[in-house]
Amino acid sequence: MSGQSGGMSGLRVLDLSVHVSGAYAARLLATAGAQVTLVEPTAGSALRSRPPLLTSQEPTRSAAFEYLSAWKRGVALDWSTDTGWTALERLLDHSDVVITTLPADRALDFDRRARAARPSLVHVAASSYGLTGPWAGWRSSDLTDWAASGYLYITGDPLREPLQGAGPWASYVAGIASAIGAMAALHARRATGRGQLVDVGAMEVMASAHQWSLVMWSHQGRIKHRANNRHAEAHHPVSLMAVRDGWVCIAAPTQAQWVNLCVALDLPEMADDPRFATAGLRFDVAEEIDGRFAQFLMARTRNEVVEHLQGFHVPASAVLSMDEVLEDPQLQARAFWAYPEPLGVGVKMPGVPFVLPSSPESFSAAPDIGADTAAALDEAGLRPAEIESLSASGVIGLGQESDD
Amino acid sequence: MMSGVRVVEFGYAWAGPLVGRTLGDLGADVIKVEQDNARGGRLPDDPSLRAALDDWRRGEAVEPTLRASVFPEGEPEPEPWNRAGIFNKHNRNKRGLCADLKTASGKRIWRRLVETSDVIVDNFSPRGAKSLGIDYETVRQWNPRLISVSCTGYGHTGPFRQRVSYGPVLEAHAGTASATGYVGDGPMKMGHAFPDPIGGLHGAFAVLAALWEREETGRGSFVDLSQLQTNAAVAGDLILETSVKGQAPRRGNRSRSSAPQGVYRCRDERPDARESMDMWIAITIEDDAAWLRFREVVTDERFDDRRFETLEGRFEHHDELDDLIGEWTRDQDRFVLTEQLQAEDVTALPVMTNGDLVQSEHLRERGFIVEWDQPGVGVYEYGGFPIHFSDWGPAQMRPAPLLGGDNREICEELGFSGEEIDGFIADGTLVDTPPVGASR
Repeated sequence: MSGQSGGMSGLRVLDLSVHVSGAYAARLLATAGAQVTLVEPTAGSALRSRPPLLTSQEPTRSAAFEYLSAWKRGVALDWSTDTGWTALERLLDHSDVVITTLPADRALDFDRRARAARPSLVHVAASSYGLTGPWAGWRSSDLTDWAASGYLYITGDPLREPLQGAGPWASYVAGIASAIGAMAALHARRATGRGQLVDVGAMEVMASAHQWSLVMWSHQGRIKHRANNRHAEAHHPVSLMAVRDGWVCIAAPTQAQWVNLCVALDLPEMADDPRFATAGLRFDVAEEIDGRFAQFLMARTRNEVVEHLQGFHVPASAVLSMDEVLEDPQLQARAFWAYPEPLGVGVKMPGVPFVLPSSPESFSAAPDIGADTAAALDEAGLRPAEIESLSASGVIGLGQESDD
Repeated sequence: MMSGVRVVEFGYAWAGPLVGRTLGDLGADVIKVEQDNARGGRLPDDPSLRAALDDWRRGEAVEPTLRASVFPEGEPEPEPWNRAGIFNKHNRNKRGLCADLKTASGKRIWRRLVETSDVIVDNFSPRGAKSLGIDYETVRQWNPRLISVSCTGYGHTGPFRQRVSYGPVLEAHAGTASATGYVGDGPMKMGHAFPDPIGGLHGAFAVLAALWEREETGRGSFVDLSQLQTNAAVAGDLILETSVKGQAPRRGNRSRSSAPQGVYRCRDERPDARESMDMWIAITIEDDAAWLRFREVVTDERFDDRRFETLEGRFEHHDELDDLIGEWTRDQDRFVLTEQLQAEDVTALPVMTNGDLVQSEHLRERGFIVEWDQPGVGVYEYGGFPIHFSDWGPAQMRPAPLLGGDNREICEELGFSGEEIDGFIADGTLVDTPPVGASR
């Protein structure tokens, strides 16, 4: 165990994740300064073939893996064998936190084996449904995670099927909660000296990430339905609206914002109309309101509308394509981008999401398979002969060492 | 877990309050500081307005104000500012201080609060924070150990730092609304302001990491958390893909690796005494083995087709498969069908409604659905704390504070005498009712 001092950069995290949730938790810890070691099978992590893929030829490169594994060291180790497990134990001996994304029964078994001899170890087990309860052993996908979360039913067109978000965002959100759980357990360890098991299910994290729908049921017994690009059932406008060259989001739920919006759109009489007096009333006549806004909006571009409305303190943004996000002046000015050179010149991806005192100053790309196996095992106290023997038996993979 | 840590939260809307709530759930002493109009105003004592409220209660008129507040049984009175379900859900496990920090008395209270606190969380604009005197440059002079986490929409620097935003606005700006949508259709926003919990949870992590850092250095720090960036961060894989290959087309509910995958209509239900509603099941068939398991459950021989036996074939004939599956699920109960499919290790789940979540046996057995007795409201159920620790918990659930409900207790803890506190009330610094008619 390290990490009793040394701040974030003194923390050692072992990332055994094969799903986005645990991998994002580990990435977040890495961007806060922790030393994160990814342990994957010698044949490579399942995340390496997770879509979106960047090339169609072999060897494939996964955008998910490259993004989620930045700032991590890479160890190739098949720990399902007895010899492999013994080697993994040496790495665990030198870790503060281990993160897994195993099915419930295996996660509990892993927990017993890993923590029995290491009472100070924090084990974060990220999953879809959590490790207990009647659904604990059930299968999941990104889509069923959306279904379980309650977000799927309320997103999309009320006259069509419910719609998922475009990414595995339930898993990402579970990942943030897993990182919170890891830090909270470390803080608790400071007082008790003991680690613990942290059980995080995406379904619960997402259910706790609803704005008002759970209380809408418990306080009023009402089902929340879909409302297309509007913010049912309480607000208007908080919605996507068409303009000449695409879409903008305009959000004016408060009285002051509504008045400013009407003035900005040259429709001051609407601000005084009692039929539009509250955000909830406006939702019921949203078609009419949007119709009256259309003339102004359809005569202007996204940027013109957004600049104009922000000048009136009305929250608004263009609906940017991902290509446009890459060129966004705000993100550029804040040095948000990381440049993973192995993927090509000028290729960009999100870097450190927010800067903490020990956040890494330079970028470190996702590791090749086994790039840091020898270094990590050496640090964990294995002798060169032991490492060689593990390599000869195929339990570990010694890739090419990375530059750093 | 975090007992002994004092957090002062200036949370507005959802992201900031979620930072405070998460830390409060973990046992921190969270003090929510509000202005008198933070929860809206009092109705003027105007009989015609009262009559309108009565019409709405009888169902004769549409609800006049603050539908989003989600009052218990739709009843705002008395004291609507203390009865909003959405506020009480966002703000459990906090104490409430309602004070005007700009008065001379308010400045005294604020200074002592800063001196005795560990963390300040806000989601004001940089300008708003400065005008209130809660910005890091000001407070660090009084307490160098203080950690300030400022969760703005865009961040404290950059050309858009003065822009105002809500979650859906950031969803548009971060590209996620553009990536989401039905095949061949336009962008789609999420059903709730999804960027808020993304920003708020990242904010709670930032606080815990900064506190951990302080144990080593003894110094506080400032975290400039841009919610635009936290939202781009959860789309990191899609943004990287776009940088290499351009943006992928919208794919509705389909998967890039599994087929078929979709959301299929089941038997309608009448869950909330209104009209009957559409209900759905989500199904993913990952590979050929999963297809064979799926075939154990469906008996319709139209599925018995060689074109469907390979992943390639199932992608090619996805539309046809969707029609067949949809026909098969249409009259079935989504929960019963899910049990049957999961029993054969087929990935399936009911598309859960808000009512399903609250009533879920799974979530109840996990202890996720909690209740508390909210003063002036009564006992209601809420979603609880989603992180489970083997040696701690379950998280205590203390009700959300009444507006200014802990003014006296907090000021006493800060060392002010009873007479001084009476003076703060008399000079209008400490308040526990909103002004008439004020809307935020």
